[in-house]
Amino acid sequence: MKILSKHFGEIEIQEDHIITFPKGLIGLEDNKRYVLIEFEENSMVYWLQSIEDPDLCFIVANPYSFKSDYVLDVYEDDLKLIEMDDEKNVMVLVILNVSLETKKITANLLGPLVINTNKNLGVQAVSKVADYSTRYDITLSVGE
Amino acid sequence: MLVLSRKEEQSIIVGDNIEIKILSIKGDTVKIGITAPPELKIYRKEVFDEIQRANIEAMKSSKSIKDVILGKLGKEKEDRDNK
Repeated sequence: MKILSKHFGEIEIQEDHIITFPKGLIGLEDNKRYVLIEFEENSMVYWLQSIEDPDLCFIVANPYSFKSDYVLDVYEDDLKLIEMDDEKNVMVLVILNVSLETKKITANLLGPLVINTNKNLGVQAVSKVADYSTRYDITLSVGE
Repeated sequence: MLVLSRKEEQSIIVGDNIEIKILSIKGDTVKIGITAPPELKIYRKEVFDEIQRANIEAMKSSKSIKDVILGKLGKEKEDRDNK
């Protein structure tokens, strides 16, 4: 199917690649269906594009690519929502942000996106690790 | 909203398995103990607000992030080419 994306105009996506967030993202509950588009090949960075609203687009990354000791500790309710049954189907992504003054890229470690890759279901969880920040400074190395 | 007055060491029961206890009151800070099933989500409201704010901001700045990342990629490529 064809969708309108924020940065690439009209793009073709496969319907079985659509990830459904039954509760949407926090503060953006109305939009539930997204697709992941690789930023660069093997970069561990992706676009998370809403298929319902072209303007709704994030850049997300695998947290382990810059913080190898990242701990995913979330509530069971969130895992139930995405019907998580097997650890090997878990994909964890965090939303990137940028500080306009310093041009530094930060990652939201407090609200990770947890995806069940087997069922294409996702949730923005709230980390139980209280000292994780929504603005964790990262030194991003992509495309390596 | 249901409003109840409680003193230190007093509790409120919610449903069948949630207990909210006032542990201490010091100055303008109330320390609360919550006993609840582990699957139940409990967090400070600020956490939720903060994630919400971060989401909206990240959505608005995806172009800037892209430019910064691509800038870095471009520079890395340049560095590699110069080697």
